[in-house]
Amino acid sequence: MAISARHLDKAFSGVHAVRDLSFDVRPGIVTGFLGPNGSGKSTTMRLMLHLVRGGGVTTFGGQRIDQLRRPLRTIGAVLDPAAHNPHRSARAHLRIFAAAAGMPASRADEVLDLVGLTHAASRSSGEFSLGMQQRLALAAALVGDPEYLILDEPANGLDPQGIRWLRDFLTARTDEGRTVLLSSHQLAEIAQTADEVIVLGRGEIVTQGLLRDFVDQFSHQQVLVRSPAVDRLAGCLKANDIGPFTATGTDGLLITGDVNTAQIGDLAGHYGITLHELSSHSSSLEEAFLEATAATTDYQGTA
Amino acid sequence: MSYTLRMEAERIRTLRPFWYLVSAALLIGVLASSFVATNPARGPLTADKTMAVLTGGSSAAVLPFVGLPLLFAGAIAVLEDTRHKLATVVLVAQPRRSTLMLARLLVLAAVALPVGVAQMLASSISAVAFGRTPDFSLVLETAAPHLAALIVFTWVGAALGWLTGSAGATVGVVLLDMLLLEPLVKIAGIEYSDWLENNAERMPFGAARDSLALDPSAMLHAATYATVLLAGAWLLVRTRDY
Repeated sequence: MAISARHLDKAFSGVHAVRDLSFDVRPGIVTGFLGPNGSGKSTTMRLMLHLVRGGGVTTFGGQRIDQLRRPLRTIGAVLDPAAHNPHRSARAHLRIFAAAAGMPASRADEVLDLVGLTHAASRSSGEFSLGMQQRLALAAALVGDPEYLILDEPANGLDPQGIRWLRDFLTARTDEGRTVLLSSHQLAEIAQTADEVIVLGRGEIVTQGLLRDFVDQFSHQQVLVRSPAVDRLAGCLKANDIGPFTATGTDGLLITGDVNTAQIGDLAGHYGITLHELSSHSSSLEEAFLEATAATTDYQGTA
Repeated sequence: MSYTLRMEAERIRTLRPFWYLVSAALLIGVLASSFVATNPARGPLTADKTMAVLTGGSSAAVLPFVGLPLLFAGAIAVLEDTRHKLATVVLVAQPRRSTLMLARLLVLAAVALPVGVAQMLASSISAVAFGRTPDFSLVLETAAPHLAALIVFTWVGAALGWLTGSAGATVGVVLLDMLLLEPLVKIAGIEYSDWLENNAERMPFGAARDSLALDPSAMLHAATYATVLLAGAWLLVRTRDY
């Protein structure tokens, strides 16, 4: 069953953080939730979970979170890795939520094992590194073995092994038909984990759909060519209305637009121009993301 | 509700500062009672002294010895949400905020009640140890209102915690009212208004203190203040963003 969000809306002091947002998160896949800082990702997740009061409705398999008798048996959420009392042990922290989920106290040890924190079960969570805190937060979300996971930046602070583990873990969950909404700034991670994306900008949806469609939609095919006769080649491109292109290095051109390597190779052969390199270059998720959100980024620095 | 009660009971069970304050309430109450009953040469306990013994000295003193630590314990019990950002996790476990608040108040009552019983029992034993056995009929008469007052103290603490959002602010509000606001009103009443002078004792702290002396009028006032504070906290928590 899907997560369905309809007309989510929230304003802080008259400024809209989220504006009339509607989307579905399908089961059996990981849906990436992307957007620049201040785009409303966290507010949207909190609206979905009734942590923030605002307009709209979110259902999880047809039910709102406040209609669920034991919400943790249906929904698991990681919103803030620091959401734990540092003076309480990891096991004691998880036992609180095991009780809420109607699970036995021993469930705390099971999820600690699941996230690789068995060795730290009796330690105060205040002694935990950021990565361990992330794992503890994930363990709390998993206590009720939920159908739906809402994860806000769960990979923050994880080491490469931890990120790999998280990816495998989420894949295993979706293979079981569960539903995962994953927000992350680590686009490489999203690229490897998510099947669909929802991209936000200034509280509104910029685009949503399959990850590969998103990359295609907001990317440009580029061809890199190097030649000892780069000036002649540039003249030929202009004469044949191919481009635009920019110079790269002393002997290279980066050609963008509706163009491919075969066209450039044929053109160079026709004019007898020697080539030292001819390669195509597709945009990454990062480039597509930057392109898609360029007009909606509130915080930008200068290099 | 039962799962929320279980969650809250487990949370409170492992909240150390809460138990430090509860222990302090118990210890201070027993010590104060012992202090009242230390001189057997003064003869059998009078009704007033018996009440002072049973209420941990609260009915005879300026400070509610047992109630005050329990008030701060009530505040600590709810402030974990903001201090340690636990609200985001707790509210996913129980998104119905009124239910969550009710569960917290019930758990606090479930702690305050046996603590009050234990304090009364220990205070009575300490009096007996000094050779001054309290009148059993007075014990029964005092028990219900004293225990009810202690429960209200923990609830007021919880309400103040919800309203102020920090332990420091809760302590500040209590001390400001107790040490500055109410004495000033009383002084002002002496000079400017008979009505104010007569009713200064019915301000929140005065009413709470006198309710521990089992004054029915003070208990009514204290209950009214507690209800107003709890209603304010409920309105705030229902609409707060986390």
